[in-house]
Amino acid sequence: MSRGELNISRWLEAHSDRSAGLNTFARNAILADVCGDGDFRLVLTDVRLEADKRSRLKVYKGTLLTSDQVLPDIPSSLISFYSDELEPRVPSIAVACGSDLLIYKNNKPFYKFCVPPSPITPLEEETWKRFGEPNCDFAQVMTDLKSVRFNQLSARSQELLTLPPEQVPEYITRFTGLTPLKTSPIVSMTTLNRFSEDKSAIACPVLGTESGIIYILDSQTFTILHQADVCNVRTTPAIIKTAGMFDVEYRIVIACRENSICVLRRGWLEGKSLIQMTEDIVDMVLVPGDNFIVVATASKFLHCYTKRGQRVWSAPVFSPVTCLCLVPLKHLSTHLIAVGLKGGSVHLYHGRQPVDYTNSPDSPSALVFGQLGQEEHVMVVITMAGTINFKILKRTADFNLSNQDKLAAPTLQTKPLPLPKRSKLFIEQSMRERQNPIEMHQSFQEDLVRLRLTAARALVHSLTDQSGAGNAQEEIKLSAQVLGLGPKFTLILTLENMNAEKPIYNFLVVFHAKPSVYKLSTYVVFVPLIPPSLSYKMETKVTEVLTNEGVPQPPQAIRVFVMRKEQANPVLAASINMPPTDMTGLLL
Amino acid sequence: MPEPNPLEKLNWLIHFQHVRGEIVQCKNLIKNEIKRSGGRNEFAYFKQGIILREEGKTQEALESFQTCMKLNPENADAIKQVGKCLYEMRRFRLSLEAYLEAEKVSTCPDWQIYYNIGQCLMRLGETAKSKEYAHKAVQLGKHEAAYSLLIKILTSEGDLRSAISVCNAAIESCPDSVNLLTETGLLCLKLGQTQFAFERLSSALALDPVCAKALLGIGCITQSHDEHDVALTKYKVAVSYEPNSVALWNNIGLCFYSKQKYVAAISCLKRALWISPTNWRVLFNLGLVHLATYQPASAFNFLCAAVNLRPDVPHSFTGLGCALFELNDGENAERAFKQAMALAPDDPVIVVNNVVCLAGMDRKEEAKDLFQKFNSLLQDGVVSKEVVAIAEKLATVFEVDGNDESYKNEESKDVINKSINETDELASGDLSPRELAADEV
Repeated sequence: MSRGELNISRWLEAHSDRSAGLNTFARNAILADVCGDGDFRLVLTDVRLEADKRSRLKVYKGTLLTSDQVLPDIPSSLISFYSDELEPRVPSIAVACGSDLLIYKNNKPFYKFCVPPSPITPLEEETWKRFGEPNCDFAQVMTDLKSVRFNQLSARSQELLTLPPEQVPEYITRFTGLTPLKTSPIVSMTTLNRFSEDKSAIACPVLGTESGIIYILDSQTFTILHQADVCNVRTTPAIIKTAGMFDVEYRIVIACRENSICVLRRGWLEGKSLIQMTEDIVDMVLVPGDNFIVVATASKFLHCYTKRGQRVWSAPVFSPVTCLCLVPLKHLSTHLIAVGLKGGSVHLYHGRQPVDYTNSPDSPSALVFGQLGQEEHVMVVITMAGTINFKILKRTADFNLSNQDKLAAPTLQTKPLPLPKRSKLFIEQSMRERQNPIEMHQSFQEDLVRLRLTAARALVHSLTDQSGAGNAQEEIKLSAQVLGLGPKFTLILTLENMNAEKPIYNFLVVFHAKPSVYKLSTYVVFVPLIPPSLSYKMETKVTEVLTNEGVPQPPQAIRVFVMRKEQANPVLAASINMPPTDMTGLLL
Repeated sequence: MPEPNPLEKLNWLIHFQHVRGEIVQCKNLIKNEIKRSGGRNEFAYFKQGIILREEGKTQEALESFQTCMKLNPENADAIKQVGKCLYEMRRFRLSLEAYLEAEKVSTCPDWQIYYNIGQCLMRLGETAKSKEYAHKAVQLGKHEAAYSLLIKILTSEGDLRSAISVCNAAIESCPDSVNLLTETGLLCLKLGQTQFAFERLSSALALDPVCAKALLGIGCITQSHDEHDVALTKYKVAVSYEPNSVALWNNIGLCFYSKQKYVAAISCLKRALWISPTNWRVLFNLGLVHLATYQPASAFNFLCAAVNLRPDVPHSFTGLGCALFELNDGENAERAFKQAMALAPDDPVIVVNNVVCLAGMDRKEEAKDLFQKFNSLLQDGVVSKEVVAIAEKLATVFEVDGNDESYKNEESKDVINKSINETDELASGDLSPRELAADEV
């Protein structure tokens, strides 16, 4: 694909409204002929998560907002389906809010279906009966409730157990007499055609709940036609897609939160795990015809699997995928997949090959493709920042699908190796070596031996030298200061705790001096606990022993040992060189 | 009176925002949901843990998962995540315990748990047990990761044949895995099944034309067939994607050496050495290139380092002997040769080099004796043409015994250089695959 071909966009930018302020998730926007007049409208939900605002169901005619209804709760999914064959054909719109399915027809509320509650434990039922009895000891009964596993309780009991004690009686009296229900929210929805593959044929809503149950509903009576578990292990559906017809043979493919993909076929009461992914599934589409499952993962990959779960291909994408959308192109008899990418672009893939891209103002949040108004091929992009963007696919666009083969593997550019230039110095050195290798070798060996000798000497020196007054392992440091001119000196030692976390304790300092030369005021100092990063100062008076004639002796060193109590090895040793006694001072 | 909302009402949204990468919003939502439920929403804690782990805050993530387990001790997923966190913190023993617990709690067999147990066991050095779990994981899941683990265990045990058969089974179930194809190709290469290796690596390259490992393998095969230019083009592509590979630079260096571009060879080998300063193969090759450019003093240093790193390689000693001979240090040269001969007494390359050096040092009798041994070796085994050519030259030298000194010296010097070439040729031949092995780990 050359750049020139890409520059002429295959998409007409029909309309873009940055101030729409929509918060629409994937699978929450559809194109449907809601009025039955052949003029397809865009229906979407606008979600508000704030407690004081309500989510809305909006209908756009062309680019104009024509209907705006408040929803009772946060919607999770939106579908449209035909429920009868009466003329004019008007589809129903269904919104999943919590565990209710709200059905609208002609933009008016039409019916409300509630997911059947799951059974509660007998003990819980019993407790609520007892709450209703007069003179009931709430605290006593609540302990019974606590013995039930928390996630098996109904929402009512769950909330009761989290309430502060003073609100409990009021809360209980609000509900007395009513049996608690344990309902499960609808998390995902889709439709399944009843007996015809036709676009406007009667279809059944398919619901998936948090508890991992799939319901297939009759679109006229809203009774449950079929009910099945997603899988034999606890899995929660996230995305549901269908293929086939309910009355003939069908296949429901469910992408789960636990990163597995399960399949459910006609008559099964339990789905079968088909694929187990190691990364999070962002979105999934089924490609009709081949029955391929295309999955986008959070690790920036598109994977394609057959209906039996074998991987066909994997393709990396440039940035994280936010949503997928199937783009059926009847006139080319093919299906493309639109991939919404973070940062604001939509790439179109034909199989594993990207064939086109188009831009959106920012990261797309929901993508729909289909008929809008009278125009057959429209893509609506609703971005995370709330912009709504309409694009029309040009009728001439054929995506060069016929000459795909020419776009073979990219030709590899062979750059020369990044080798450094041979420097003059390098050449000169090697010439020199070539001329007198033997002398070079010998003088090198000689110098090497000499270096080793010096190193060994330095090592021996440092081993014998005791001057190092620090212990890295114990992280203590000792410094000394000698004050005075003699024969009386003051020796000030500072013991510092270098460790920033641990205090040191059980230490003592021992002085070692020749008694014939120096007399000390103390020979052993017990060090109190030194907190981290602090130091302790200790003072010792040193008196030089003068000979009978009053003549000072040649100065000697006093050795200091820092010991830990009841240990023979000193932690640290140092010798302090004493200054000679100042004779002039003595004479005075 | 309306019933209160169920706790898990917005779990779908938490998951949805997380997988779409809206982490900030997701965290807010989790915070609100935890508050709304009074700290009882298991899934919110679970997702919080996952987000924290992805952000690298493993300790906090672990706490979140533990809260989750407190709320529901039978949540195998949370236990698995705890194991994963502990594994990331490199506390393999604890991680193993967590996964074993998950195995107990989990209602049906889960290949991921087995795979992770296998991985922990391998980290703890219990290979036999690890293999058992890897087998289980493979049987349950037929997943690429599980196969890779099993292959890794078998390779580390040195059981290359079973490793290859596992590889083949793995490729059947994941036919488009570049990693597995490359792995298989390299394993075959190690076993010397060049043709098969070439096929596997080619199919890997068909899927990913810039897979550096596969390019290295293909390059290595072509290089051993003396097609140095073809090998070089492969290496060139690979090196632009993996500029810090020792094996690549080493092999590029040897390609240049074979094309007698010594300066380029030296700079490539030096780059390899700079990346991995204690790689004895690179040091050995550098020594040989320096011998070829008649820089015996440098050669000595490189070979000396190679010998110190791996004192069990006879060829390094041979090279060292040649270098010392050039440096007129006959005594040490002889010691080096003796060591080489002790390590590999029947290697004709070592023997012929020794003969040449002895002849050069004017110790004809010993040289002749050794030459006889060499001739008998020639009859037994297969040797390359160059060794035979040197042998013929040596034979003529020994025949014209009475000739004048200077002529002989000249001749033998020529021979030495050639024989050194020979050593390197061999080295490059078997070096590259071994080099690959080092790179895989």
